Amino acid sequence: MNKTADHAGIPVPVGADVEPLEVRIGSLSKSFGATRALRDFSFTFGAGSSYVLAGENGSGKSTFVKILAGVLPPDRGSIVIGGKPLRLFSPRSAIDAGIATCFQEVLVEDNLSVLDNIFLSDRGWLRQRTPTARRVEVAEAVLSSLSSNPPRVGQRVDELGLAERQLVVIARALCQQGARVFLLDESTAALDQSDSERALAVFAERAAAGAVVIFTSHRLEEVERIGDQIVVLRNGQMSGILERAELTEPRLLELMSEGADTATARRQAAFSGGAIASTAVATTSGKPVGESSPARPRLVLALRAVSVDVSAPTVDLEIVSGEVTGLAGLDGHGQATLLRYLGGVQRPLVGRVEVLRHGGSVAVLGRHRQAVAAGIVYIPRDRKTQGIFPTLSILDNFGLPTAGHRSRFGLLGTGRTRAAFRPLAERLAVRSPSWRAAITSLSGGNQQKVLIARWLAAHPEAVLLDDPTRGVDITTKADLYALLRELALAERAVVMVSTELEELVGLCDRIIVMHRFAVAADLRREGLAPIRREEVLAAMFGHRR
Amino acid sequence: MTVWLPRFGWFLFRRYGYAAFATFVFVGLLIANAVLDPVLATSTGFLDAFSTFAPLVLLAAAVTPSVLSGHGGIDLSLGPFAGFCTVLIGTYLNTGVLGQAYVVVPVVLGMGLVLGLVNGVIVTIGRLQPIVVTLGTYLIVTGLADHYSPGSGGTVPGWISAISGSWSDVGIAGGAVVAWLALTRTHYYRWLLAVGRDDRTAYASGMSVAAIRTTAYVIGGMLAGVAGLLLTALISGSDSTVGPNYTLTSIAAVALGGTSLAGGAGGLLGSVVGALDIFFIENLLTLANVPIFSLSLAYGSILVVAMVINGVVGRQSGRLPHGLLRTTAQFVADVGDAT
Repeated sequence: MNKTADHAGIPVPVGADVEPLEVRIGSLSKSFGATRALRDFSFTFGAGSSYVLAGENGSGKSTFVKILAGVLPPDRGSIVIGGKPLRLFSPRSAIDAGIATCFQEVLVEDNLSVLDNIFLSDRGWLRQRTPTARRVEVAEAVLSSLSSNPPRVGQRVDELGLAERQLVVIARALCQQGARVFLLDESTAALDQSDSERALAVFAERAAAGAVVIFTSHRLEEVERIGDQIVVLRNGQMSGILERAELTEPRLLELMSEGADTATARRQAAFSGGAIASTAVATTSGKPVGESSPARPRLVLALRAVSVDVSAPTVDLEIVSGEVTGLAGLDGHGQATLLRYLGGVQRPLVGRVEVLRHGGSVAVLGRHRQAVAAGIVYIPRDRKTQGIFPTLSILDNFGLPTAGHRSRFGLLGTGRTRAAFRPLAERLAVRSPSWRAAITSLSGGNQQKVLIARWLAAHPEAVLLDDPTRGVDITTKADLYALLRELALAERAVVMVSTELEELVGLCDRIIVMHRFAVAADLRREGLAPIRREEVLAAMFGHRR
Repeated sequence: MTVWLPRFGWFLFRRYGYAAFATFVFVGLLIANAVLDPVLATSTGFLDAFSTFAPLVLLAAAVTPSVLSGHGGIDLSLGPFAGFCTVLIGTYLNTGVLGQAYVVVPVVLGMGLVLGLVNGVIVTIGRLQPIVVTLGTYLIVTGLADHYSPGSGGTVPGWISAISGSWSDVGIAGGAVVAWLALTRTHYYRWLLAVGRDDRTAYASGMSVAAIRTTAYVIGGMLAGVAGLLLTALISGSDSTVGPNYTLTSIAAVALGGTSLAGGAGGLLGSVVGALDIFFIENLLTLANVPIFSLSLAYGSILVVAMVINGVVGRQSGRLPHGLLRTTAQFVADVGDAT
């Protein structure tokens, strides 16, 4: 740490004077229980270049980032920077080695100012190592290089929106003393187009000055723009390296997805929808399917002048049964809130949520209980904390919320619960050795199936899902897609929030795109042609057409 | 109205807004007490009252750093520790060289430091729930006090009993608070708030979460040592039973003072005001001749009501985006800017 360089009057860039050193990764491995998140990953990141780690969810990108950031200790393998082997036992040691990381989650301290958040890794117990005047100078310069409308350094972070918080996190990495390796885990996701381009340009500059820049992304449009080399991961292993020049979409997808052909075929089968008989729905609802004509939907969920955020215009929407409606948008633009309103788990600040039935009766939703009574089920995103009961068995996780329907004299009927679970478990292909096993023994995808089975057992009229395929393997995804299509065919309302554009475009009859807490676009499938992803993407970034 | 005044108000609110309710209550109670109990307004009356509430004020202050450090942080062992100090001084550190200030003060502060270190290390290295860990040390310290207690009063050095009811009492308590205020200007304090709010972010940013948390417990232990000195001065003897009573009251003072028991928000000044509120409520109830058997009932009810109001007023989420107080303070500041 060079004191004179710290205090010299040169404002920015802070890390431009680092000596270029390559980062050599030698057979890095990490397992979590039976899951091998990273297997023998070896690669040399050359100084002065930028790289993209591409791969689907669960391919090991984030595990790699966390190891290099010192958050996770690797099981095996070596990290050598400029010929010097590195032992990382904490984030501090990574920071001292010149590694600056932006994690996938936007890690900020709400109760501190922008300035304090940017210099969170500064040293010094009594006095901060970097004097405040210089902090302000550096932070303002970096922030204004990142955004045309940067937050003020004195503002508290809890006053900022998601995009601005993301800027703070990126600025923190850029302001880190002596940073020579930049790790960015999906870090430009929340930024709008122009800021995201500016940020990428800033990192390109740093790479040109001798730093190593490593992005992770699964978004093709981003992969195309950045990265001299694209390192593709699949199931924790490197499946290929592409030069920027040889990058094409099919080539990348092939490297990213295991047996790309079969997966695509599965996906298409799922999207084309409903070929499989709707056993689950027929058996659980006990009602004849398709009793209403398409002209008059069985159920309409209506949002009347609902406000998602005080700063945004109100939202008026009608969501009808019999189709799969997708809510799209960049993370934190209000689509998840809208779904919670629809599910009755959160009451809007302004406006009303109504349920219109085929017969003409109208119910206004104010409480979760009313939503449940109206047959609306809401399946939250955070499976671990809001979905499963981690200490209970698979069967109890399935049966508890609907146990009332099956109890006799107040006693639970295990046999009846088993009987109710059996057809659903078969239909959803829940793979487990025993229903008595703890739910946590299942993979994420199978846990999700149990949760969906739980609510199908409640005979829902409308199923609302917040990112149901997050962290779910591709086979299970296909199962879920098929199920959602079936539910729609059986005249149920299906609404889902998803972060995967492909999934929405492939699955939905209608996509409502949110931008800054307002509806930016309401797109509908015309005949058999799917909704165009470019249109959705444009609306997500606030470009109205 | 000039422009700087609303701006200054907004600054005060941002810095000390968490204690706004406690301060509001404090002003009301102060007036009520001064009217109903005119003795308080005299110099001796004030000093007597001060020496009565000083141990509680300092213990409330002492609990605050551990609460701020987050992750369920709390230190139950500080009340008994103050009681232990009375036993220590009243039985052992009262004659000859041992009774001199330059021995007593470092010993008491040093033991506070050790207690905080033990609590902090077990909590952070052992990754255990602070409430359970400090309940254990609470029992140990209570047991030590009982074990070494002489059974009857004990004697304390003259200089200690002279503290009570004199301006040096105010000086010592004030000195501890000033020392804390100096601490809030350090880089460490920002770390403490960061660790208290979100320790994952803090850890990922390279902070030593364990060291920062442990230090919070150490600071609390040392403040409790000061509280122990003032408590010894107040009772002028040794009493192993007096300490534990302070534990729950001091935590109530912290909560009333607006420090979030979830960590990362609040501050020591709030706890001080919260402790003063509690003292004045007790004093008022005594003045109102509430029967001794109903005192706890009345006092508890008032405390619950006060906490509920505090919670509703200070709430950061809910129907109003940032809470009523915050909106008002911002509005006043904006109007000030506009004029």
